[in-house]
Amino acid sequence: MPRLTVIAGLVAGLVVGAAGAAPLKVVCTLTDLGWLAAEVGGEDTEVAVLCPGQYDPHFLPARPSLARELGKADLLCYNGLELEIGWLPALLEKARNPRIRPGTAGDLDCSQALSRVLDVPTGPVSRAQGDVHPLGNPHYLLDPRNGVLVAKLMAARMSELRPEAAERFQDRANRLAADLTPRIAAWREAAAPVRERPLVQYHTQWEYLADWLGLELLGAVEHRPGISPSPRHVEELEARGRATGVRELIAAPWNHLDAARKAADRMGAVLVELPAAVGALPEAVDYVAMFDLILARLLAAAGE
Amino acid sequence: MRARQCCLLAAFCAAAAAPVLAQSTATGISPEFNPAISVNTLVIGRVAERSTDRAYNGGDLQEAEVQFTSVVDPYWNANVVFAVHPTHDHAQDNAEGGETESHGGYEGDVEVAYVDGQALPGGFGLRLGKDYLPFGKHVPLHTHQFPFVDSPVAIQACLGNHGLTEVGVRLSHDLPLPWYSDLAAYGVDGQAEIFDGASRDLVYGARWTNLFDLSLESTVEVGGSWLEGPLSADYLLLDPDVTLAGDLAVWGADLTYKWISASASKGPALTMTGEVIVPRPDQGAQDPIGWYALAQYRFARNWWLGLGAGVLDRDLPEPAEEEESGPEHGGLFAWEEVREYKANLTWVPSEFSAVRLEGARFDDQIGDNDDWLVSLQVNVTIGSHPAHLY
Ligand SMILES: [Zn+2]
Repeated sequence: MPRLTVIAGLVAGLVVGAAGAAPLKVVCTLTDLGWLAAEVGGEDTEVAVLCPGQYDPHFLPARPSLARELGKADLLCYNGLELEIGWLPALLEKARNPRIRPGTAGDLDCSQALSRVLDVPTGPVSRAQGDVHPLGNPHYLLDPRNGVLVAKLMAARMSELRPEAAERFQDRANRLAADLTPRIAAWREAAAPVRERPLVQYHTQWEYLADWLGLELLGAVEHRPGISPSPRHVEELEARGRATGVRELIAAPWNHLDAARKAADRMGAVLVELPAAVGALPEAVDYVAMFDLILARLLAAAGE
Repeated sequence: MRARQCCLLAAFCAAAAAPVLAQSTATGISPEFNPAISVNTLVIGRVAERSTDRAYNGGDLQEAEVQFTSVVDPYWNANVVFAVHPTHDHAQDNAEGGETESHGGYEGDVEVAYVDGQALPGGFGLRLGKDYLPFGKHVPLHTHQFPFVDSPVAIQACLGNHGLTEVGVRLSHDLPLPWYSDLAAYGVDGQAEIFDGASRDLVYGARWTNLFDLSLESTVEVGGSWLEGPLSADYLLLDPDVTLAGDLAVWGADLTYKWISASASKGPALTMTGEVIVPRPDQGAQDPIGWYALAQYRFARNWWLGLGAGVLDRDLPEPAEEEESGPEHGGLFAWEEVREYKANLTWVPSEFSAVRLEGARFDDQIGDNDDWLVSLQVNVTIGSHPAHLY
């Protein structure tokens, strides 16, 4: 089987070579997007990722070497909904790459694939609520159904940029969807024991996961995004957690885990560190492994 | 000071991603193409014990800045910054610890107004208009991005008190080297105080920035800068009795180490910078040299500690005996070496505000009264989201 893949790869490479087209250079802001782009793009693309999985994507240090990566891109795939607002505009400015300017075919806001954005503010927004995402919660890749939608959007955009490879992009996106769909159902089914257990989260990052798996999120420690939680809020949350019998507090590895652990202790819960991105924890080597690990950790915490 | 570094390029992305609002094509009036706007204010209170002036005590608006950023068309992006600050009182400008803030009102200025070319072949960058000159690490910073409340003495004396922003052309290119290496060259109409504004000669210069990734978390930056232009008549206050003429060349070198932990968002971070400035005016044989070094450490989620030191040095000619204690040659002009030491503590509760307490000591080796300056500065940004400069 591996040999077959190699041969298929060589053949595809030859076909590409014959067509005279260099691989499409795709730069993705996040590891999840990078994995999806590589699945869809295959040998027709070269994929680079700006934010390593272990970094909080809200606060990636904008090293100029990343601008150089962007300078080579034919296609930029980013999360959107202002997740990367602190660092992507500065890098784009440095990159001086007309192929990926906003509004061009090389600029792909992957949030456009979504059929539904959660937590879109309904009332007026103000920064009294913290560094709120005014366009809605941007952490949609934690619902794998959205991963499938993004893969399809990527295939369409890659086809536009490399029409000669359009069929292969579509095929790979369809194959990915066919592979993920049964897993998505299986993951959801496996989550049944967790559904009875209300959870507390650290940052408001797990809404899409909860929406998909049917989990109940009782509240967030960091109730104002980007702002240290106020002691009063944490006390209230702890009291509510105790009253409701919360047993788990979920957090990303880059959250302030000491504060998270303290809050968990006080409500009689345990801290469960979940991979919020591909590569956020060593075992989360790809998008599938990430959800495997999320489920495994939630189930282990639930004693299953 | 990543969290408080603000605004330069906040939001052309955001503008592109903004939801489509109700449109009013009938009137032709629509907010959709408004530039991203942000406002920064710096309020400062100071207590000083200084031998040369007393005007430092009190509170003031150090600066208020309004920034507009937008995509112009397929060819340009634009950035415009209007700044308001206390009226500069040039007569009292002084080599140590910043300009004197007179209480005689405020003056406005177009600090920055430029367009960046977006469709240049070969990855060239072209900037037309008014901007800070790319000289070293400190000169390009807006006041609200300073690591300490005032510029280092070396910068103020060698490159001017009021920001080196000039009108002209800048061309830059990322050199094809294995590391990030940006070379920028410019020609501008020198109007800053260090140049002879009446001269018709241009100011030109170059900056070479090299950045090496040591790891995902740390980088080293090595930079070299040079500029040359017509020399201001009273540059560096070399001697109040002499009117200078000719050319001014300034050389600079800088080294920066940066480490930002990936372990937690807004986790531990350290920046260390050293910069040397070597002015070589045609006239005046005093061979001035200035340098500073600083370290900034984020030791807790919302807290930064800063330490800095700097020196401005020159060889004074042997003073004539009878002039040695003449009043007009005391204070400002008699210094041979000025040293500064600074420390600050900054509370950064969000990306939009910071409160800083700073102590600075200046020693001009004249007499025995050291100058002390304690400042409390409040830094506030409203409007579009700030970009974190690296
Ligand atoms: Zn978020």
